[in-house]
Amino acid sequence: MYPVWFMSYRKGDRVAYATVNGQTGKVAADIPIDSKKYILGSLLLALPIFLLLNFFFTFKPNFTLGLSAFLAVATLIIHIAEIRKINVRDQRMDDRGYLSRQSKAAQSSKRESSAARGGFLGSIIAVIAAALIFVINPVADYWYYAGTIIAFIGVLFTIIAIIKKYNILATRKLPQFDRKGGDDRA
Amino acid sequence: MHKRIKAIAAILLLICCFSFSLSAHAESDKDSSLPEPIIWENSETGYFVLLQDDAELLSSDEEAQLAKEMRTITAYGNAVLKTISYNSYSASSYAEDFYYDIFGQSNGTLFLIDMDNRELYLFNSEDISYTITSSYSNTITDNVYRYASKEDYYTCASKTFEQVQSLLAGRRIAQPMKYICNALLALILAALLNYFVAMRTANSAKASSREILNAISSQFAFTNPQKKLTKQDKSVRATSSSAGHIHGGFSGGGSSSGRSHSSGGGHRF
Repeated sequence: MYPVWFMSYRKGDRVAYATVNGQTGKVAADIPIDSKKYILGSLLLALPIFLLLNFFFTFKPNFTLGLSAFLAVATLIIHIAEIRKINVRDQRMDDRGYLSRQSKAAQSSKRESSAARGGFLGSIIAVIAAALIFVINPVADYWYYAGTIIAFIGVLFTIIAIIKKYNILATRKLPQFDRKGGDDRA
Repeated sequence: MHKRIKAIAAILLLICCFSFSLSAHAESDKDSSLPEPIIWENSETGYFVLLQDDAELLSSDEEAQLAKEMRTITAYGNAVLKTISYNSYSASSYAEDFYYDIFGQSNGTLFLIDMDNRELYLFNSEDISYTITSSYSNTITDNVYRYASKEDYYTCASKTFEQVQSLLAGRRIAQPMKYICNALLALILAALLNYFVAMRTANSAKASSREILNAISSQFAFTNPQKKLTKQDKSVRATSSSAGHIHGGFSGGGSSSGRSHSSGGGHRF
């Protein structure tokens, strides 16, 4: 197995770790995602998707709004699933050895404190806006375009909330060298 | 005798006057309910221009101008403009039925302004429908619906036939609806797709349970394995005394009700 290389990358008050298997060169790391680069990458990716859609489809505004509302619901489901997965990892719920050492009371208080809040609101607002527009059923296209733009912002907001939560898990607090007892999570 | 002839003549005159007034009234009724359609035939192609403004949305000058503009389309097929104020069906089925009732299965395009459903509908038949597809029909009506909302029906119809003519002549038309919808959808799809790609590449590969167990098992060393019989039990299970019951040997499913059938069997030894 030896040698194993340990590396760290610091950003602000957080640090990310990576390990490299010296024999195989395989790298194991949780890489944080930069939200700005994610948005930039999404905009660049939108260009070929736009060109591809233009080759095959002509959507009407009401259909576009319906589809975007459906994608917002899908994002909401992804948010719930991902946050649950991240929480399992965050609270070491998949580590039975660790859990056995913890008292039940401590576990429940921790679970409540680390629950993700707010991220799903983006998708929910998008779905509500789309439903309202469908109920009002306006003639003008720009209502449907506005609804689709709200859906896009909602989806983006929800995804960035997941990314932020993931980034907290992918990185650790900076080791507190002055503190006695250390940080077992660092 | 002379008096009798006079009386008969008077009655006949009255009947004639009454019948004339009835026919004149009927004529005027017909005029008010159904305006005269404008019909023009292209002598070279045999295709028609038909403009029937039943909803009376256009002035006679506008009708004449519009009919003139529609003539260019008759190089490819019939050009029809129909406006209606009452429709118990959907605009699409009305347009389709109206066109086929008059022209049958021949090349043509029909623009319907349905005031009852508040809907514009562009119907295309036969060869023209290959050029002006449903997507293009949606695009054209989307480009002109604002004129109809402002009650400018002449510009609405004129712009419609102008775009139809452009497409039939092989030119392109503006498609803002298509580009806006596709751009917005592309942004949402890209955000989701990029998220999956980012999460897939950001997460490090985690060892599976099998890999961990395989690694652990190699650390065990089995030295001097022994096999020892520590306990032996014998249990007897009482069988039912009732005859005709066969235990075991059933596989598959089904019933004898006729909806499905069962199969399988067993054998005792």
